Amino acid sequence: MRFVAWRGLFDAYRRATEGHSPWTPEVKDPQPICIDHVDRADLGASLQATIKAEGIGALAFIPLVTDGRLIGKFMSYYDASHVFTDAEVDLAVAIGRQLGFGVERMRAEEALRQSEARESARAAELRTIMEAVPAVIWIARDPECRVISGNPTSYEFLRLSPADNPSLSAHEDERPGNFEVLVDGRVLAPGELPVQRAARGEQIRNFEHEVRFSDGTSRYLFGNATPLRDAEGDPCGAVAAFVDITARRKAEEQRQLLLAELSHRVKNTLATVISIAQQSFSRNPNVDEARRSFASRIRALAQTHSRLAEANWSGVSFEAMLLDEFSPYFREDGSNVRVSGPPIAFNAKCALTLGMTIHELATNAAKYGALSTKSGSVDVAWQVDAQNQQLRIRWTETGGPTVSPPKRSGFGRLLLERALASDLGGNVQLDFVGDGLKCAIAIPLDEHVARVA
Amino acid sequence: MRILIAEDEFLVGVHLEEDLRSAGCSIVGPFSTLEMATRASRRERFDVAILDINLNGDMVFPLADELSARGIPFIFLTGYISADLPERFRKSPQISKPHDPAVLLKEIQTAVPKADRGRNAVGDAKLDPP
Repeated sequence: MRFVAWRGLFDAYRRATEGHSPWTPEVKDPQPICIDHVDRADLGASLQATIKAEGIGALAFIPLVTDGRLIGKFMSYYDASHVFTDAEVDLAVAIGRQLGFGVERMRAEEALRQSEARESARAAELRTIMEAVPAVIWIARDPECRVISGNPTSYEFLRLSPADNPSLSAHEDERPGNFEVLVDGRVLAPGELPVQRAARGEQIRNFEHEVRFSDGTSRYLFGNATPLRDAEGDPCGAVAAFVDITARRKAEEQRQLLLAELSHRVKNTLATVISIAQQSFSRNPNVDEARRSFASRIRALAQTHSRLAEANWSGVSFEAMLLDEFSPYFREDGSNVRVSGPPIAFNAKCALTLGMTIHELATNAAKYGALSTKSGSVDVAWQVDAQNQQLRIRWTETGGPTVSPPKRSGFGRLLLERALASDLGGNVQLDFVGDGLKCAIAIPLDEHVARVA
Repeated sequence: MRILIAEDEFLVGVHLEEDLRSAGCSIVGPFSTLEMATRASRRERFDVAILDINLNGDMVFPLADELSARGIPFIFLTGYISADLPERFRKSPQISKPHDPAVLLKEIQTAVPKADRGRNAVGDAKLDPP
């Protein structure tokens, strides 16, 4: 028992009697206790001393009771002995009863307040979840879904403001007009929409649909809708949660495209290999030589593919292609090959054609040209002609045997004169003079062909 | 017999060209883009077209539709599978890459009835049995 209110009592007295109760807590139906003469009561020595020190001569303990349980007490003190009459006791008991009701009401109000505070906290949690979760959430609170509300993500998704009613079942004036919903290409009527169906009692799961906006763009949603039921168990609304899977669908489409592409690329490559075989064997009556040159050409093709794969098919460095093809011929001191120019990357298709062309030029230089002698050398230099948006490449062989045109492999010329033109839009000038081949190639620096890396 | 070739893989085009030339045909092309092939198809005379499905990223179908409308036969040369072709072309003459020269010649003979073979042909020796 703690003091909660008092008048005219000293602190010392209160401190000394704090917690004292003349009744045990479990006692049923506690009765008032009147002490007419403090001197003559059996209170225990220290309590008696404390009460006397306060100057109290008589006192009454009146229980405050709720539901027959003791919840507190009020006391009245006299500074002299006093005989408590029945009327006084009755009055005190009546006061006690009122106080009891008051305390009970206060406690009930406090309990209600706390319960409401918990409810409120829980609602705030749910609201925070709705706002934080990166999904589209809708709630309909009427079975016809005339009004639907949602979380911020849902309004952003539908490109509406939070003040709008996103329901397609709303009244004509309120209904949103900037989107429609489709499944498998068919526009759904409002009654067929997942929130509306759930509000009629249907549990919708794994529902995928397209939301097509009036500007022609579409996004895709995937998720569930669940009925909300009233106290009788009848559907009175619905809650729906959907995730935007547009990116996932696009990735799927990309994957399918890539798979079809793969088949196409492989077939193309195989057809190219047959063409190279055709070229190798029809131009050379010596079967062994033809076989070696065929294998060598396929290896060069494979090397360009490796370079492409290394760069995720984004392009191949021109310098890397040159060095790859010259590597079997480097003299120890590296003096017979020189390559110089700004970093240029060719895209896949062009890299493959150019790679084969470089292979022919290098192989020919090694068989008949500057790389076939101890003193010969090849210099490949390139530069960007910014004005004409062109890449100019010069291939210069020097110090080799005297050159004359026909010895060169027809395949190399085919690639230089026709393939470069066809695949890269380039043009080529070949000079078979003096001590080495001179070749000038000009390629338009189209973004589809190459870029300055 | 004059044959228009639309093929974006240079060496494959050259290979087709050589195979068909040695069979006595004359060649229009090869063209590596849809635009060039379409322009040439409207400008040149030819009996049949061999069409690669994918020309540097553009699908050849608009040209195929145009040739259909003009009554000029064509044969698809394709790295794709049948199912990847649009419905209307799934039954069109097609051979897969890499091509078998004998099969190619047979398809050409089927596509172009004898009576229609152009007078521009430089000797039909291999295509016309004696």
